[in-house]
Amino acid sequence: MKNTNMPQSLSDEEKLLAAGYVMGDLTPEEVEHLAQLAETNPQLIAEIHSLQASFDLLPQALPTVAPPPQLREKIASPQPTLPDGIQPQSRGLIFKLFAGLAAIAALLLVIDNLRLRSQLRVAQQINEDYVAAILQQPNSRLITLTGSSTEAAGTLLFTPGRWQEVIVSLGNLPPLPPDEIYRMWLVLENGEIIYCGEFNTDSDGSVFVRFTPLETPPQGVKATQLSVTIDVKAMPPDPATAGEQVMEGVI
Amino acid sequence: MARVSTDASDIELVQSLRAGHQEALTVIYDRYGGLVYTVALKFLKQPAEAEDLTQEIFFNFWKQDKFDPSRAALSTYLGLITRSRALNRLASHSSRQRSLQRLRRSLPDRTTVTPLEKASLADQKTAIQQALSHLSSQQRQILEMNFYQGISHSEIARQLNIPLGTVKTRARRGLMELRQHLGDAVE
Repeated sequence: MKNTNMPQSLSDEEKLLAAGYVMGDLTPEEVEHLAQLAETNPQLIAEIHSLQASFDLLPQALPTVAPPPQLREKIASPQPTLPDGIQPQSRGLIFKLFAGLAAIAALLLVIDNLRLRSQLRVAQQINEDYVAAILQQPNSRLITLTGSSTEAAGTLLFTPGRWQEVIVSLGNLPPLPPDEIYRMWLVLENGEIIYCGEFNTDSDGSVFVRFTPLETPPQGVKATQLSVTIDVKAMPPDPATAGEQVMEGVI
Repeated sequence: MARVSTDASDIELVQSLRAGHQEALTVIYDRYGGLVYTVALKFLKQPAEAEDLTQEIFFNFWKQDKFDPSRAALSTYLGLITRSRALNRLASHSSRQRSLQRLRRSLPDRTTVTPLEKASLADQKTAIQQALSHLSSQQRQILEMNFYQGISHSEIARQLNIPLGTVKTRARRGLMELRQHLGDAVE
């Protein structure tokens, strides 16, 4: 029994889920369950923040080791010596580092529970109704996606001619670092490439997501291929700058 | 040339750096260079590599600063960025890449700076070490393997020869204990 007029205390189960969430080791089912619980108990969101704040401070617990004195001089010099691995002429690498840092920093700008909300959104969106609605279409199709050089595998469920909504389920795809993201692309018979959406996988290397691409193939132009790439998160989706292809599927 | 006070707050130093006063970087380094180097050394083991990473962290902070002081304390930000970059480096040299990739997510996505983050580094250290001391040795072992060594829970289960479910439960309970003992300092 819950009293909506009083702050709700958290059960042991809720706290365990929140802790698992912060450490990123929840199963998709557990994330969905946590999202449902958080909907009715805002205190759970606050608890996730506190757990995250506790986890974030673990570096500070290490016994301090003093850096060598010459390091201060390098940092303090008017033109700091570039660290090994960063060459002035290597614009690509510098860009990559900066883009990575920007992507990490961008995380600091997102609203407090973006991660939970996004997962909550996924959990809410992928309910039986969506899948059933597509499956009920007489011509709905399942496309098999396979890893280009890995054991990643999965399926995409869609209705031909209705690319406004597709359901994707993938597995064996390792989670990416914060500055990278998986992007899915649709290759058309005329060579044009359309961006479908982006995602990351959970700690089990799987994802179950619903895409609603903003752009869809022009009338009469068939989609022939699907492709999943690893992209720099800070870069806007652009087929011209898309990264390494890791999965593909023939339509 | 404007001088940067060593007593300036972190936010003032960041503003000063953004205004082009590079000497602010030295003050920031004097404040947090030890933390960054310590974290770098913990992960990379080799002093030369830790030194290199420390330099890279501060160099990047200076050249491409996107730090938002309203979202996290500078010390938290630098500690986590260093951990993340160190894991990146390890992943690029190691076959443990998949395991490590799973652990790179602990960058702050909160909106508030907690009271503990506003405390001095020494006070933070004392509080966290004290809170960690309340964990069982098993909980602490798993939390440390996961956070400080970049080992995934499934790999920990394999190494310790215990079920994955047990590892997850101990890790979660360990974090719960840590949070409980830090109390309202992390609220």
